[in-house]
Amino acid sequence: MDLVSNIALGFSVAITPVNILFCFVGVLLGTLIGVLPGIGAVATMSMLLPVTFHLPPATSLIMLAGIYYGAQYGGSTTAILVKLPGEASSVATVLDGYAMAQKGRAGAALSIAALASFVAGSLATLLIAIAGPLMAQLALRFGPAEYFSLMLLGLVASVILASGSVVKAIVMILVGVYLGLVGPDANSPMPRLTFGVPALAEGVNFVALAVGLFGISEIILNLEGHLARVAPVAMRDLFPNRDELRRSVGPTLRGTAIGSILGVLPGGGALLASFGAYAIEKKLSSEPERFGQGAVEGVAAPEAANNAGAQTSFVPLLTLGVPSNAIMAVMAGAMTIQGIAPSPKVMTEHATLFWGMIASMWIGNFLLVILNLPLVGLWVKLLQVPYRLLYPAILFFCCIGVYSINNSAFDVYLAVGFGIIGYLMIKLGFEPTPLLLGFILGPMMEENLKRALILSGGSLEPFYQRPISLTLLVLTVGMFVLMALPSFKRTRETALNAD
Amino acid sequence: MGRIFNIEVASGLLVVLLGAGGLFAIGNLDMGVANDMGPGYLPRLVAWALVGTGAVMTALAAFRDHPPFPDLHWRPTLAISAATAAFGLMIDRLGMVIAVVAMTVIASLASSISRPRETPILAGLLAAGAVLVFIIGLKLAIPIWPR
Repeated sequence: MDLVSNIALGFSVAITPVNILFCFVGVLLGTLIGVLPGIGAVATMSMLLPVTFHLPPATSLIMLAGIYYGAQYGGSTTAILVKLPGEASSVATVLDGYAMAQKGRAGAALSIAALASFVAGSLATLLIAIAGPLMAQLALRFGPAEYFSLMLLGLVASVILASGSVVKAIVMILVGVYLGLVGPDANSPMPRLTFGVPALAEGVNFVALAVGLFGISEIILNLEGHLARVAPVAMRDLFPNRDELRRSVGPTLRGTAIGSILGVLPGGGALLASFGAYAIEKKLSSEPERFGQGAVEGVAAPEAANNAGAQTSFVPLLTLGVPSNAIMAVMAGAMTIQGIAPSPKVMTEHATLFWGMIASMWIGNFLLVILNLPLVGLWVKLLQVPYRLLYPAILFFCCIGVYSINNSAFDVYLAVGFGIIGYLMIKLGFEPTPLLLGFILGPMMEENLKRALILSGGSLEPFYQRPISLTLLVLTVGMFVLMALPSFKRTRETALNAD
Repeated sequence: MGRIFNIEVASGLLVVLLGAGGLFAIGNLDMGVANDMGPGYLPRLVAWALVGTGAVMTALAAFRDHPPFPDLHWRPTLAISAATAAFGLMIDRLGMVIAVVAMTVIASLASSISRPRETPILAGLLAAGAVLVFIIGLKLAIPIWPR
């Protein structure tokens, strides 16, 4: 069978010592940054892009992917033990995870979180292996009009997920699109929008932008306040009891299903998945009043969902070549650095890379269970490292990451500029995530738009006459309508601002 | 003026400013027409959208109550920016060690949580680690000492 031989091919790539090693490095780093507040997956992955220069393509993508889903595990550890979501996607876990910890069930909550994540990760891996080729089939029918409509849908969807004002999120997308247009222009020999700066002729450096917005501005923000340090809850044993295990089965499976679906959607990923799964469990439960008081279902469902969502969000990138969220934008950057253009051809032309990465996700999830459960005490100790020692080190990684991508001091200055602008914008309530997505998708959209219009002789017909494109555009309009509905507005606000 | 210059008005003005900056960078790039877009078409569209959105945001916010303009913290902003810029300025000619030490020292000025006695030790450790991992380990083409 095709599926079996594909997975076998994947494991033959993923199981080589080098790839296992870097998978381990990735999930270790991911757990680390997931545990540590004040540094996220986008910044870490961007900083490490230059390092991946020196690795083979499959190895570097395996490591970067490990950082992303590893961060989901680490984020849940601090969510449960210290009420600090290390990653945004663990916010939903805080509600019941910390409540369980206060009732003396911290160990059980951690185990359930890890097991739910592992089950979800394994099932999602299988799902990608099945759905990937189907998506790639669909991608063959994609012309420039479909691509344009899909990316538009992705951008609009990312607006829903951004916290704060919808208008501000749209503004951030526009700024991102503009920045993405700086530099080379497909149809003319002259670079554009560069203010005459030669270093910008190749465009704004992605790493400088991401590190400035997510790394440097984050350090400034952390230094202005006091990072609250909470003493971790004491933990007795790691074993969930039979009742807790029994109650977790359904939520884990439902969380996996919800996470897998929401992960594939444009704009989706771990964050949306975890909130969606939590909300649905609460709706389905016969005793919704237990939620927030330490219901094990409220840990299993969002943890399963965020891990499943983290993994299936690779599907649009690997099968259509379209990144669906900021993390995937970084992955797209990593592929480009390796000389692999993200496109539907990745699966056929780089089959070993594609299947190797999928197989590595299963291995990575297995490693994460081992890393997280027995070693949880170690991670908690890490929380005790004071920020005053941590932030110069983080800043150093920002500097060296940005500099070494082109050995260019200009890129470092650029990162400083984006750091200051990012800080100002975050203070004014603009969230930087949509900007990064606009930055990556902007130039791709321009190219597809131009191509579609040239093919049709300037007519907009292909956008609404081709069925796939029309469907995508209808969905986009639907999203706008949804956002305007008052009841949805309220739900979105509570979901994204839940404490 | 104090009341009118709230956080939303500031946001709107910032967006107008970004759009205007964008228009300025475009200069006289060729617009083209819709079915044969020039390099200036989409950038101009986006920049004008920013100017327009920002203007509407400002106008709407000026007549409503919003939280005041947030306190910007200059100390961490300046120190962290200066530390990063210093790294960029020094790394090419003065090498990794001096750049990392300078970065750490300037960064330690960012906040009162830093302890002056720890800074030299931290700087030394970071510089040594940087050389070991990035120059010896990953073989990045960066000088260790001034050249």
